[in-house]
Amino acid sequence: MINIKNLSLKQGNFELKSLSADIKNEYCVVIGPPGAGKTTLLELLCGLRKADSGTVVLNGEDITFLEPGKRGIGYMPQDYALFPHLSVRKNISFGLDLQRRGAGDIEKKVKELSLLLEIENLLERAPKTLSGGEAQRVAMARALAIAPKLLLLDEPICALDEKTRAKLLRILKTIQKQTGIPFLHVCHFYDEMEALGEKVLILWNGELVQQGGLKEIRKNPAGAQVREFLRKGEIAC
Amino acid sequence: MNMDRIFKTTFFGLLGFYFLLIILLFAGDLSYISFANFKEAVRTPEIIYAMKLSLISSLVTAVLSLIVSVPAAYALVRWKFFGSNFIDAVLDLPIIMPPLVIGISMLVFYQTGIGNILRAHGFDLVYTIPGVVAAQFIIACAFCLKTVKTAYEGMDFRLEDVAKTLGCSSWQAFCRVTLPLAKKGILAAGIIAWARAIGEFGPVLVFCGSTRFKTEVLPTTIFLELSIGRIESALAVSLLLVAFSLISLMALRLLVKRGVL
Repeated sequence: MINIKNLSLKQGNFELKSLSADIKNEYCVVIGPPGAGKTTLLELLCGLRKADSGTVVLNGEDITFLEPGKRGIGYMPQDYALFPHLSVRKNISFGLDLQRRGAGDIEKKVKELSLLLEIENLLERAPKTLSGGEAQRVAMARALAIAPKLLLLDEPICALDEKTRAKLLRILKTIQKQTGIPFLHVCHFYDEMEALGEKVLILWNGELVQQGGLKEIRKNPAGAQVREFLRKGEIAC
Repeated sequence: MNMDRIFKTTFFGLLGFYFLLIILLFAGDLSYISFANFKEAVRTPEIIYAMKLSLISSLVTAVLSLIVSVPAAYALVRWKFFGSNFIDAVLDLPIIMPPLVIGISMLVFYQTGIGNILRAHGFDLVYTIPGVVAAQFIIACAFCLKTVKTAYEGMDFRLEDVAKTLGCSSWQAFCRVTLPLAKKGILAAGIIAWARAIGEFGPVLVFCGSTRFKTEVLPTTIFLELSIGRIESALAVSLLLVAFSLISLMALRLLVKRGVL
């Protein structure tokens, strides 16, 4: 469970305004137009940016000032950012190597994740030879390998074709159920939100304009922009 | 002739023109001296000494240039800070300035302020072998830094961010992600630094003089031999430099191609 309290950041013209939210071990979708602060929120949570004020508590531990690597948060950026100089196997085991796990342990974990994400035949491949869907699953395996307490996904299926999207949506949902950790998934499509979101956070201009279950949001949309989004099914990019 | 052919011919033509220009230059040198003359010239003790000093000092310079450039270029590319453009411009000065100016400036530096203090504490580099390295370093490092910077500029630093979320410290992210990705650029920078250093003449001559068996490097030998009218000997040393450079460049390219480096 993650508790975010009054998280604020001002950077140039952008301002994330005192964001507070509690996310249980559920699939939470963060939605909003470009520039709303979705990626900034993820970067604040995983420690790549420092907040001006506010606190982040993960499973009872205050992680606000911890280094990114000590937070136990998996992060999957928008274009997956696989390490191009390493094979798929080495990408997945990257975090495990840093934890100085034994070779047998690493091998076991890589095998387990590659089976779960159906990438066992890709392990010796170079990232540049992977399709978008394959790269997405490898990035996911890499983020999950460190056994995170929270997984952050920044528009993970945005650039994929319809068929791959549908398949990956199923995979994401299944993995969240299996791992039982909270997933925070940034997107701007209604279908993603509908397929995945047990909880939804709607960000607009750095402000959390609404949060809650999908039904609740559909029933009582907060303001004209949320109503418009629910009608159109997509937030204008 | 169709347009595609004209396009290709023009580009290959210009490539061939420049390649031939260089080949013809050195072919002229080769035809001017006999092998016997060449052998005789390069066997003299003073040239053997200059050869050794050139190789060692240029290697030391290349290593020092990399030690400074790899982190310095990273700082310039990775972080935006006040005055970074000015610093960048200053670091380009040794590339733009005539090398002789660097030599004179180094000499003057040791006659003033901090230079005097350094001399008083035994760090007098004027007319010394470490001075040769220092003169080569000032210029070679600027070229090295520029090349390493170009390698970093094409890099996606978000990879480092991801590495940090996986447990890396800043140092580890740099060593495990950025360095391997910039490897070829860094290697190229090392070669450029070495090539600049081994051919450096002006600042070495001004700052360290051309004392035989002391501060004489191969480019100074060429100058000394030429100034006393021994053209064959000057040419022999020139060809020796060409051979060193060509063999080293080819060897390094081969190592990179085979994935050793």
